[in-house]
Amino acid sequence: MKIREAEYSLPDEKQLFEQAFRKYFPGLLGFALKYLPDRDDAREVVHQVFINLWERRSEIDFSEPLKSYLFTSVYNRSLNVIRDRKKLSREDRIPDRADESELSSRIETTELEQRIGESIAALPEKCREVFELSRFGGLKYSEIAAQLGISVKTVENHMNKALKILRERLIDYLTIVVWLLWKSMN
Amino acid sequence: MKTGEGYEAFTDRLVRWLAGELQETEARSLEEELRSDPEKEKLYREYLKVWESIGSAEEVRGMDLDAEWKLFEGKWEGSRETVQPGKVLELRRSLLRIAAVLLTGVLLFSGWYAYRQLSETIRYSALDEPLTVTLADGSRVSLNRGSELRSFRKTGEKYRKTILKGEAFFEVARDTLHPFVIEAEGTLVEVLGTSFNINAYHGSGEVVVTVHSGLVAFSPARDSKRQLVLKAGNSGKWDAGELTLVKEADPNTTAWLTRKLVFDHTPFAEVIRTINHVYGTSISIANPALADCPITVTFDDQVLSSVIAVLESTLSVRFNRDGERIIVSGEGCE
Repeated sequence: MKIREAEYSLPDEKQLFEQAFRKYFPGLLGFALKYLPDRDDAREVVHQVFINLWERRSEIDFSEPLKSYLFTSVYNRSLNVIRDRKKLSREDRIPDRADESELSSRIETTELEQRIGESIAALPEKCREVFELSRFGGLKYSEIAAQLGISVKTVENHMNKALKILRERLIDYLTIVVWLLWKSMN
Repeated sequence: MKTGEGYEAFTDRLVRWLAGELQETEARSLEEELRSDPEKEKLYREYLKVWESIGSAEEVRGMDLDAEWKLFEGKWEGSRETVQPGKVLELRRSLLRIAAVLLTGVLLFSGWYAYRQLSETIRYSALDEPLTVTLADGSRVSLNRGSELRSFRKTGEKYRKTILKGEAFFEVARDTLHPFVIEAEGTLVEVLGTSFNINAYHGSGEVVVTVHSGLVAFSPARDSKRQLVLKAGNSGKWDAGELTLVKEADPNTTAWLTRKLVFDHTPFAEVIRTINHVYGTSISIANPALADCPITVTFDDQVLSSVIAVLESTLSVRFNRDGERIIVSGEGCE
């Protein structure tokens, strides 16, 4: 009897899990692609996060929104991949396989994107983390605060600082680019 | 800015507004302030410009979600523990929790989505196969392999703006009040409503625009004075800083989409280049004597194996598979 009950209840939980996957996968993949230009790397990170979600489903505190949990996990795992890669390339300098690098070089960044990327990378670490979760992940201040274990006020301070620095670094360049675009269209 | 709050307190609220943290009443009073204080408005414009230029992560669209789920399911099943009957209760509870969480997620997300709708970016990418999508304005775009299109939909903006990486065929819905603009590898293409192909793979340093119907304006992004106006049948080519008009475009420009190929005394090496582009293959010629052999043949949406069969009998050559590659061997022609 108990076994039958288990068999019966199982599909529902799996269905919910599948639903969560289908709902959040496109957004999470896009988020991971901000950090890992190779689509296979990005996909792998998102897969690991979902597997982890399944394995730890009885431990995770689901009073926090699932979305912020997923985005923060993807963020942390993406940075781990980047860190491991850096270590590897410094030690071994393994040349990229041609087929792996092909797609990422095709989707390489434009000059403006590069400038933006550099400016974000130059932010202080915590400040950058908060900014990226807000801007790229679309998380609310309260969600970021809960995930990082800091206060909402601290999140707010980091955001102000990030925008202040980014404006100083980018505004002149942005004004020129927008003007050029406008000019070329008229 | 001389009276009332200083810059600091104002920018604090501005940042919270950008991040979607202000209540509606707060947001409205911020907007009123902007209207009455030009200094604050300038600051607001700059912050908005910075915020929007950085862009949120875009949902990857046009992917096959069923295939993605299958792919993940395989991995997930491999890692999954077998469930003991004793765990039933616990499972039930977590099931309810996930359900509740999903609901909260949906509500939160829809609020955020409605807020962000004003400046939505959609990214489409085609990986191994061409992909055809319909944009919000009704324009249809077919993307070739390894290509990506971003479309910026903004209510009330004059231009319909997109960025292309790779190759695509556009059928732009006519809207004379809102020109359609494509930025591709340092060039700008502007149209009102036409169909045309853009080939702008990164790294080739070359952008080729080929027009099927209507008029297309083609210019380098940084120098609008040098502008080509292309008519149906024309190609415009941007290569190493040079802009050139090609009056008779290559008839095989959109073969990657239609698989209609026309060769008329075309050197064999060029035929192979075109086939590689259209079928995503990597075929190479072993004997250089074959490269200049002229080929005259047409194909209408044939599968690769029939194309190969026809070429083998026309030129007495063999196509041999070597892993992912295909190598053509044979004697050469008179």
